[in-house]
Amino acid sequence: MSGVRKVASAVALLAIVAALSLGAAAGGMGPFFDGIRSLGAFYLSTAPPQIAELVLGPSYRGLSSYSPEVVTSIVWDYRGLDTYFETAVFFLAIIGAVAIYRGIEEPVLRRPASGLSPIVRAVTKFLIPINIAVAASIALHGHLTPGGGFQAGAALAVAPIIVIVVFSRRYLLERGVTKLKALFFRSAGLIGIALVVLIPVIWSVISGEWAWVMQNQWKPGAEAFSYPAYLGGALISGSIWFLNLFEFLAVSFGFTILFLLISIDEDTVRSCMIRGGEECDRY
Amino acid sequence: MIDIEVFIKTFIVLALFGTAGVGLYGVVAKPHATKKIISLTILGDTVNALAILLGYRYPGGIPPVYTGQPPNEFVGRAVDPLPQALVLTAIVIGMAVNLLIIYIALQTYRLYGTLDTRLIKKLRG
Amino acid sequence: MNPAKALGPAILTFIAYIVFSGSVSGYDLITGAAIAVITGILVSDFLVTDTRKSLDIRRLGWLIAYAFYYLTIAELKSHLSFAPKVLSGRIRPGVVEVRTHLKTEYGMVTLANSITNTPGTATVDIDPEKQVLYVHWLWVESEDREGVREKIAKPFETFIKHIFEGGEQA
Repeated sequence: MSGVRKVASAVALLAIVAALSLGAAAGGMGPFFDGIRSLGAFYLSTAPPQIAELVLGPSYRGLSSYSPEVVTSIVWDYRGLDTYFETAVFFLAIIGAVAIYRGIEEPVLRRPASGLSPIVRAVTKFLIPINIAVAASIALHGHLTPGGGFQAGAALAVAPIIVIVVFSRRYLLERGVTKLKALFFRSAGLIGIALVVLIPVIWSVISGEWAWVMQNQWKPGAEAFSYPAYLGGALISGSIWFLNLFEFLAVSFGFTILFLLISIDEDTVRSCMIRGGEECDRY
Repeated sequence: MIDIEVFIKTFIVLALFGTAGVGLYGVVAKPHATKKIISLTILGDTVNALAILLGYRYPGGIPPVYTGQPPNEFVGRAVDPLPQALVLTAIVIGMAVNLLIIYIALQTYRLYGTLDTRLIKKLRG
Repeated sequence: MNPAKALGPAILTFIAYIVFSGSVSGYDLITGAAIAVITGILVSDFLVTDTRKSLDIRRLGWLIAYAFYYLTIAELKSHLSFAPKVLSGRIRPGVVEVRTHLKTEYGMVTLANSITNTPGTATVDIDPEKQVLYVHWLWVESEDREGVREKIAKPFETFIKHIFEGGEQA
């Protein structure tokens, strides 16, 4: 790169930073470090059922999502449609990746999967169930503690990538975690999300009462329908619990597909390292 | 006399802006696609951190999870949950989109044997 | 699939779930049990080789005894002997070959990790077929086969033999 271009790039970089700083200094980002925006205050005071019902009065019950975890309430109730279409973006990204890799054949392998040293392999075997337990706990407590379907899915996606690194891709495929099965479970999760979103509408068509898409608790104007906030005495926050569970399935198996497709068989790598060849340049 | 609190706040914000600038510079100026992708992740993560910072409250700053304290104290001290909710989805979507870009880059490399955009530009067919 | 085979991993999963959740309400117990059953069935095939052995309660007693011995006596002895050497800087390092009588993979891995975790010794590699561990030793005291095994592996082998291999002959 020539000297003039270097100077121009540096000046441009400084100008960007200065412009952003100027915007912030002029108050373009609202209160910084101090106070809370009114929308945030509204979410904080309505999402937890105790505050909404006891402090603001029973008429605010319809605005509550019955979850003490305000972030999850926003993700799956107040701004639920937003998240719904984010999930659609996620779905399309994975479909795009799968489409790029369509028709690439599985190479026939000559050796069994081996992987890293026995010490690493034996310890990893014990980490897998613990990983699944932690991810499931994050998903199923998403309406009570920080966490939820997205975070839990990302946590569970650690398991396949550890297995790929420590054992090999072939090991994962031999244990039955194939692209087809992962696609099946991911589709099941996405269909579950769509069903939970559409059940109020289906119910509305059947009963003749008014209900909104993605309704959790009853809303003013649609009082007849609400998901159960408590199940057997345990707080499940209505639809939030189901949406977390299905999003957990969709995200974790979506990432599993991506990791399966992006990794290269150790057998291919080994033969390329030993013999080399024309087709190995692509790896 | 310098107010140490103002200094730290300004420093954090300027550091984030600087990092965002570095990410943007990498995306525009670096010719190699791998470096472009790395710059894009830096840019995205910095913007996410900035969004989280927008919701932070300096005196107080407890997590937005209701654990049974008095309601006025909770609403008065908890950080803004809305940026956190938006960033949460942005991170997952960002990761999926990054993976898609990496897939395209990998496929480009397998087809053309290079990821240098200056060389790819000259290729035919 | 064998329900008894899945019990061991299911218990492990259930404990991890409850510990991570940090509460024991009815909701946690029910969801934890459901997750434990699913996970146990999924991972049992590659985690468990011998169903009867995986449910033997005596091994748990040996495990607790081993943990107690290891964390108090073995660690203390090793620290006391190696702290002066590290501080004075006079070391005689070398990699030695340790022959072990353990046969199972889990047993050998436990032995290797136990050796690594005590100061002064670190397992570099293990060879399950030859039953050999290659250990980097900060102070090579002896070079003959029995002496090395006596110094490095013997204190742990008795316990590990009981935990993983029924303890017929240490």
